Amino acid sequence: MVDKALKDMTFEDFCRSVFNTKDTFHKPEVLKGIRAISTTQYILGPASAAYLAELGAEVIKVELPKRGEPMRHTTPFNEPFLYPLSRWMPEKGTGLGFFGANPNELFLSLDFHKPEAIQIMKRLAAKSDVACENYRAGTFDRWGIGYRQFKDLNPRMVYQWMGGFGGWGPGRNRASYDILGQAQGGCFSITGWPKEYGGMPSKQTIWIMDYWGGAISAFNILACLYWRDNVSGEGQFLEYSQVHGAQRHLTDFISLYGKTGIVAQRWGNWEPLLCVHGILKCGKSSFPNSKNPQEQEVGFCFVSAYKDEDFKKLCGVVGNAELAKKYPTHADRVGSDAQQAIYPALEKFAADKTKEEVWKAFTGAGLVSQPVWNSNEAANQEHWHLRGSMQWLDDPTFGDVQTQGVAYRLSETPGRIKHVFKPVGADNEFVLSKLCGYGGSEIADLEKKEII
Amino acid sequence: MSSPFRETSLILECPKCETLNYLDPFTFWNFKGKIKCAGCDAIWAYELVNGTRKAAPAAATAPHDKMPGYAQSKDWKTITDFSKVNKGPQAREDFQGKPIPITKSKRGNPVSGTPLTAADLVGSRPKQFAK
Repeated sequence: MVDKALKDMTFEDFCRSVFNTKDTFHKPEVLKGIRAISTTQYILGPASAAYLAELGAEVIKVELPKRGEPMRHTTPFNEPFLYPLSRWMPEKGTGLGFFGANPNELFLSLDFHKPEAIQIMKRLAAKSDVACENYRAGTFDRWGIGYRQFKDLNPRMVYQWMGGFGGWGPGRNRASYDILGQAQGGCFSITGWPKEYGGMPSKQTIWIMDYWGGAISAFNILACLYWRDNVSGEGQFLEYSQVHGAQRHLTDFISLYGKTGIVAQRWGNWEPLLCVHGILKCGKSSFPNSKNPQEQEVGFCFVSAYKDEDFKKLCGVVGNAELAKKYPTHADRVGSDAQQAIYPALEKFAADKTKEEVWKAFTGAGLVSQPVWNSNEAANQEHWHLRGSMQWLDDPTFGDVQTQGVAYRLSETPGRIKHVFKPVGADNEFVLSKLCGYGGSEIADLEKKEII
Repeated sequence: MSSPFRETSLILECPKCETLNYLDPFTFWNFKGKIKCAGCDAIWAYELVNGTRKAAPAAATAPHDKMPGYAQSKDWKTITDFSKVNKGPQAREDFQGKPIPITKSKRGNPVSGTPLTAADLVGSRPKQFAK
């Protein structure tokens, strides 16, 4: 039952009340009680575990002793690091590339080359619900800690393997990265500029295929936990292939090819399905006095006016009634030649304006528009800070850090960020004593033998 | 066989010495002016619109406006002398490419951005970075 006070509120106040981001830590976590072992590296595998950890699962990230996984050693232009990397290497730091895919986790170090480490993994597997791993196909199986071995120990385990090409087929032994997924999945070839505008394809700068694959993997895991707990009582083996995942969101390009044989070309910041629905170049910088070249450059502004009445309004704003007369219907506008005439005409209006001035003019006429923001503008948006999507966090290990919060809201069991990550092996003692039954001297011995 | 780079836009092959002058898109995507070849110092008038050249390079006279971002000779030897090629454009003037010690976040609060010693790890966490 929704109580009367909530019922009488406006919808906005209702949302503000039930999603109150100041009240998050008083509420329960939806995945509390689910334990996952994350033997993952880079972004794809870690992201899947991170989504579970944001929702309250106890995720144990297992990395190589001392140096940890490779993503800790990636940071923009080798400059910003957070220290210490581990208690064994306090003079080294973890790079900012590690951000975003490892929050809320416990950190255990294990050298899988040592037989004792395999035994520890098996003890953990016996007490865990989920395993996430993204080594090459069959690596963990060969080491004796893959799904087939874990299933003997724990039939309820849901084991998510993520890789480049899948566990069988001609590509099974190839390694993959996000950008390889974009390239083979077909995304790279349709992103960027057509020949007339330079011809360069472009990758997505963010690791979009990794985070997308991580999200798919996470909800597959949840689906299998549902099946286990409500239907079968048993876990199962899950495979996610990065290249297959990439092509999954090629939208209409595959059906276009299947029906007509047309190989889609890149269309830059315009849109082959809708016109006007693209990004305009504006002539003035919003930060002319900034020392940062990215801020000195001219701005860009998105505008959508593909409906006939909206296009008419847009033509009114830019003072080009001829354009509205020449392209009155969407069918008139959406063709390639029409778009190549319309966008430059619109950009004439923006040529002496900043992106904000263009945005004001468009939204003033009731059009959907948005200036293209840089990371400074995104990081400081009040709207996102108020809703908890962007936050400053007093991290227990690293101090004052800015990070993304969870991107969604759950009214009764909200996701949350407790810490951004920890040094390599920070929770060795906690995990090994709590879950594996090791005493202090045994743990010290494991450390001495460089097993942890 | 003619060079595959003779008609490329963002790689200016010097018509005189065949040096490949790489024109980084950040600087040259939209450009009209004179470029100095990193191989033979010849000056070429050149125009690019949205990364596509309007015409082949035409001989011009000094002074030049810009140098390429990177270049290599026709026998594939790199030219990295900064009197011949530009330094890459950087997001910050004080870019170093090596770890920068940081003790305060953008909003001015303590953050653990400096290398530590084993002794720093003894005691409370805040002690590690609130120096």
